Amino acid sequence: MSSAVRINSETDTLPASAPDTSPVSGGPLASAPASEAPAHRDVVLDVRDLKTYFFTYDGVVKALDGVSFKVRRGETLGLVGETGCGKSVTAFSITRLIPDPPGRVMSGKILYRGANLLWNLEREATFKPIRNTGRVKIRRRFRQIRAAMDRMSAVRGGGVSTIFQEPTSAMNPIFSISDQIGEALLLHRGMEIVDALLNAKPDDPAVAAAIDHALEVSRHGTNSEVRAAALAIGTAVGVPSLGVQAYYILREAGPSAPESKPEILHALRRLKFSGLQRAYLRRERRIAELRKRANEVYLTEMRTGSPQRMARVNLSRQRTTANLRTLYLSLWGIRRHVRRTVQNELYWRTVATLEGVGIGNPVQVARGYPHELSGGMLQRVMIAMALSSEPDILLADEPTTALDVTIQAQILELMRDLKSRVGTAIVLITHDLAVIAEVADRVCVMYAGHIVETAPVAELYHRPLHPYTQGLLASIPRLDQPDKELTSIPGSVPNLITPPTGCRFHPRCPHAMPVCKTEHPPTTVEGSGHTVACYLYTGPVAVE
Amino acid sequence: MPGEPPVVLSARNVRKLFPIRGGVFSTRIGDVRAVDGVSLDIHEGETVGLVGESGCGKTTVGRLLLRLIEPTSGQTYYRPPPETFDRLQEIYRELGPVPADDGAATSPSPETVKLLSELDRIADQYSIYRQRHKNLARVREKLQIVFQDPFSSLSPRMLVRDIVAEPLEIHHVGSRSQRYQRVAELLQEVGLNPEHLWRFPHEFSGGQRQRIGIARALALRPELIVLDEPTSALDVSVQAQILNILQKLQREQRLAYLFISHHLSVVRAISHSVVVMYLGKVVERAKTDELFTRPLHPYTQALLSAIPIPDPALKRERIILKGDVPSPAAPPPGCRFHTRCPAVMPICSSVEPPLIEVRENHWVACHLYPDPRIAPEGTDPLVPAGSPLPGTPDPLGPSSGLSAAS
Repeated sequence: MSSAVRINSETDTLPASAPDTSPVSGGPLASAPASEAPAHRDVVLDVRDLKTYFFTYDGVVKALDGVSFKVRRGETLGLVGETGCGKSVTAFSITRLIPDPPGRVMSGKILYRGANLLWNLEREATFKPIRNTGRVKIRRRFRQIRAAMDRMSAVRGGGVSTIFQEPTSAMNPIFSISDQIGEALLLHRGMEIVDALLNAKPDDPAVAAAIDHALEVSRHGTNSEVRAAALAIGTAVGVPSLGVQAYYILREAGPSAPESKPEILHALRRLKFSGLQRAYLRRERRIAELRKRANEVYLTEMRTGSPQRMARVNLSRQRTTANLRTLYLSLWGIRRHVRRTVQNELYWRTVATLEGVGIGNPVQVARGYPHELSGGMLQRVMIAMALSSEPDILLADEPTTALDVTIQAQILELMRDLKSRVGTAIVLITHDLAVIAEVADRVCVMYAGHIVETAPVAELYHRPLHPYTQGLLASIPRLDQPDKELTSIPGSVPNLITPPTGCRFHPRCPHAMPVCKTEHPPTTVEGSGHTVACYLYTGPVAVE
Repeated sequence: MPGEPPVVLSARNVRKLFPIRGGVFSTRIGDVRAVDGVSLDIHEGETVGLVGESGCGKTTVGRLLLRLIEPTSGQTYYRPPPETFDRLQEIYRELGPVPADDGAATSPSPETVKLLSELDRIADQYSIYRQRHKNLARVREKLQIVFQDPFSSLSPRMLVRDIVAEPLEIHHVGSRSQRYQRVAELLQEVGLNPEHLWRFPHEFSGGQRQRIGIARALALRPELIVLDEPTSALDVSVQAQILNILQKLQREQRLAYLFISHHLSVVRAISHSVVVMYLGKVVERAKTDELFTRPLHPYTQALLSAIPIPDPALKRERIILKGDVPSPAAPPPGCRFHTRCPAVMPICSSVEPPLIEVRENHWVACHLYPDPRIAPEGTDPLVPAGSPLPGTPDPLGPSSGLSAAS
């Protein structure tokens, strides 16, 4: 990226937008015009100058070489580019899942709600070039790396969730769907679940009334009325999943639904706890609470950039298990007196989650194993799992590439629906510009480890500026323009061990100029929210 | 058809069942009906696109046409003379949609027996499944294939020169030096340099490897190349390069292609006519423009509307199909698409619709379209009164694919 921060005179005349809360020196924000200033505060993920290298025997692969972008709340950002341009590496770098060795995130900032996920990065390893080989000797400091991974547990899943490309290999074949989604639920929402169980009121008179009402409705009501009445039982008890269970009891009973009171009462019985069970549930609640406080400490450390030693000591004094790292709820850590209850609760919560992604028979699917489901179905399950922890950001890494077109249409429809319903920010990674056009709000085009162009989706497709974007768009055969001449970009993606000097696209670029071979072009602003890194354009330089 | 180029390959009622073995003695407990009675013609210099979802039998059809796998029944005729081809058409029309090979079980009428024996004689002469030894080798020379995965279809232990020269060697074409001369020419034709002769496949990118695969297929100057998803492992910019090369070669050498792909936009860009398959059956067959502007089968309509278009301003009504493709081991009775069809009728679940020509060169297998031979004269069965789209039944609404939007 451009190292020197130039501020054009044109930039200075822009009205100063809302002050950036993050600690970065800088004048007015040229990248965010005044009209977008309020939206700027909604930035949930801010990636700045991210560099990720892979250290191989052939040399250092600079997979990401200064990538910067922002994701705002509720927005869908498309990351698009050819194979090997660093799309997936970006996603894995954000959640710090780069396999190490050989890969390492080298520098940059990933600000998740103001917390820098790469805090203390420079202390994790030292690098020493080996003479005359092009290779680098790395000394890793494992204590620091482990601490960083611990801190990431405060962000992974709960803050940033990932959907992987191949759903069949992303699921564990030996656990049922409800086990796997239940695990995620317990990990991220354990406190809420245990609280609901502890505060359940199975003997409340309102519950009996709600049950009678639901049975009455099931006699002649429509499906949605029965559903509402059944869910009201859950609300009366204070355990929403019980309502879901009651609904499926009524549904499966069919015409004999009005006589299914014993089944519902039986389901209710699992919420009547003995004193010992209560004590154990309170123990689990305490673990969940400590986990939550530990996560808060981690986030504070990453936000403020200073180690929270006192907070850590305080936490350690209160710990009930070995240490903070093992401090989380897992089904097999829960005392067996309450395990069945929790398992059942997770099962019905899973069913409710699966309903949310449009699975028609969630009871059977939740009970099933990954091999019993088709690719499209599994991808829905993956999306359900990723969303079950209510993340701020969903990283979708080629979610439809392995699927057929008709199934892809189903999944894209689901993602559009979720976008409007849930409001999670989505980072959609794909090589398919058509998929991006259908779902994304904004698009970053990547080439050989750089972002070459960023623009709102309509703008990018109607006014592509970078020659690479233009080439990509011209090389797609289009169903609506059958007579279009297909033009191709000559050559192929460069080797990233010895990337081309200057602009990395210049060997394939039809407009290459002498300057392109020597200097990397700065990112310039070419219209509202539209930035491009190319010497063909001479707008004001974007400031991060 | 007068004026049409001659037929290179003509498949009739080709069927392939893969046995499912199980039980104590690995006995046959069922069949996967991978390809169930497929018929198609490929003319000289023409590209036929074969599309469908994964598992519908596209690749199996490609391999059957080259006799890389043996069919269970049916014939594929290689270059029948025009008069023989016309006679074949007649015979198959008279025999009806029932596969000829199964007809022998029920005692057939004398006329049928006569037709079948005539068919047998033609098949003996022209069907690639009846040829042996040298005759077969001569046919094989003219039918080549490019595989989907450029990474596993080239031997990692052979030089590019030897890979491309291998088909020439097998068919004893020329002397060694002549063969290598030809290899150098071939590489030039697909846009590679002579210096690439001395390299191994791992030194190439995906697009370059696919070019090597194409050069190998071209080596024997074939008449037909089966392209089995040649670009699905490649990036879009490289895909365009490969498609352009294929079109250039077709212009220069009058090659016929069978282009197998699940990517409809690519098929539209390169094909002259398109065959749509669903669960081992052809559901629709038409010229490319005809198929894409007025798709008739509900499956084709859904397939077209499912394809994302790289233009955010273009908003379309789409048909989203429910559920997944059923297993080909236990295909649904009647029309195989009826479990997912948005325009399903009671008849669909019991009677299998035959593939009929509802309009010139436009074949469709769907109960929505009555047989024009049965329909009263003068009425166009495809245009229900007041419908904005010909052939779009009401249950779908005004939503069929692109023509509604553009």
